[in-house]
Amino acid sequence: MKNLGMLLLSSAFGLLSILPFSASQPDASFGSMAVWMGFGNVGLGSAYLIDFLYAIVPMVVFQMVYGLYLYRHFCTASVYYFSRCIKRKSWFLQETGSLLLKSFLYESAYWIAGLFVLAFKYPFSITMADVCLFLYAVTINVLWLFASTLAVNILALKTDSVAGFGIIFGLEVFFIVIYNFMESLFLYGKPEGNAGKLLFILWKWNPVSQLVVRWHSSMWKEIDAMVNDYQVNFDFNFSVLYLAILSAILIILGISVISRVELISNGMEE
Amino acid sequence: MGILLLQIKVMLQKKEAAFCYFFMLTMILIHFFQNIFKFAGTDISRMYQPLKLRMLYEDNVFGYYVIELLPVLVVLVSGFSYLDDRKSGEDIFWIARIGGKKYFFFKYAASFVTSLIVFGGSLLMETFLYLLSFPLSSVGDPSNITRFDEVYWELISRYFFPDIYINHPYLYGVGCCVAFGLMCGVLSSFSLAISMSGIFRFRILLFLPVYLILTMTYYFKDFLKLDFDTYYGYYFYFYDTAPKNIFALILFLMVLFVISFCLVCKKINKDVFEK
Repeated sequence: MKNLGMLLLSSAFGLLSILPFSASQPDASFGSMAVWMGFGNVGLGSAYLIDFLYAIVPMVVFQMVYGLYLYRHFCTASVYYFSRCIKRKSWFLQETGSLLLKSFLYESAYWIAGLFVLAFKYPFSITMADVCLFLYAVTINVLWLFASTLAVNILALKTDSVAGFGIIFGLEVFFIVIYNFMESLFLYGKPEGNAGKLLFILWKWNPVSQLVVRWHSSMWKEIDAMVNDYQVNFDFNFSVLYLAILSAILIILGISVISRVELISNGMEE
Repeated sequence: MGILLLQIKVMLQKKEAAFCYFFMLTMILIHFFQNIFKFAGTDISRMYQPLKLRMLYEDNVFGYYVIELLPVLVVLVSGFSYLDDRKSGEDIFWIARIGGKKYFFFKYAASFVTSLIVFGGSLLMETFLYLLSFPLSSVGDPSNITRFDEVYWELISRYFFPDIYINHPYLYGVGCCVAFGLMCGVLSSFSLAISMSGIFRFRILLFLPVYLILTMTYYFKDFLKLDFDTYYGYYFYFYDTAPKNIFALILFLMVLFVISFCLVCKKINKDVFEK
């Protein structure tokens, strides 16, 4: 029931995201929809901060609800639960797999709502580049959603669910607000000088930057023509690899944390 | 009254309330020292009005942090106090001592006042800091639009109660802090009432109602075809110039207040041992 509710909520977020696009675009393709729904209305500078913070709302809701997906087993009847589940590491891997699947389903509902509007309003045309762009966007979003929610769970185990969520949400807001300082980064073309290059690295390695589809570049010219706002090298594969490595690190960290949790000392959270 | 004060004292001593207060204080002080270094030695004719240098003036990065984290901060400050009481069994002690009705009402009122003190108090402290440190005779606007420009007066007219601002700018500045604290108080007590209703089993989910309510207000403008902005941040900034509607704000706060009051009344009528 909760899962169904979350899928419906995700679809509603998808509709909220696509409606301004469909209202303003007389003609749209599958690729342009993917660009729009992948943080398409954001940019650098203070003018975009509000749009940015609204674009992450669906993700924040998921982090709140599934931020206790693993952690809840350590809250109530944990001694009983884990006496029947002795191999905690394999249990953790199973649960992370399930969390990844849930992240995928949640994101799918968000994107399918967009596709639904697109299919009804515009004549259907699709190219291979559109499909690839769409798959890149979904993969990046799923990986970020999974990694951030796993981080909330791991932090909750070390502190509590409120602190776990608070830290991750605080970091997300921090990563977004630092774009305020980067308004001039691409003002005169590519960043130059040591300060410009440093700022560029900070921009590229910012986890939130990975979510913005239109900032990326691609070796495939047809995809590159649809994105790459700043004409810089920021490949989709880099983002996928970056978030996959981040997820892998968090899984390893999670295994280490989960095997050290003292069940006796855990209180109930209600 | 003594019980209310005791409840407020207990809430203020909790680490969540302390964290919110120090977070506000940190943002305020970093911004204050930034201003001190920025305006050191500036001629008074080129200075801005001191209260417009405060953190919650629009287009300020520290203000952004506070406004965007506000849905979480208002819940954190006192929203969990009832759940903490229940976890430690303190609620039973209170109910045995003063009765359920008084306990829940005082808890609700204490949550409101605690939030008012933490947010309103820290911002009032900031106001006095600016009043003491910057020249009061300076009248410039950070937008660099002069008073002789019509646009300036057009922008001023979009403030809440522009007449008060024009005649008593410093009183207006203090009033903004109190209004900010009151709005945070309504949101905090709303989250406390939600926690009393027992809808959510886990603490983390208590963030959800306030977060969704505040963020979804953004879409009201388009869906209800309103001629004013409904993004909550515009109503929390002190000198925001976006088109706003004070009646919509009051209605919004009243609805939240009525819902939370009903939830508290419902809780009072329930048996203490019922969740």
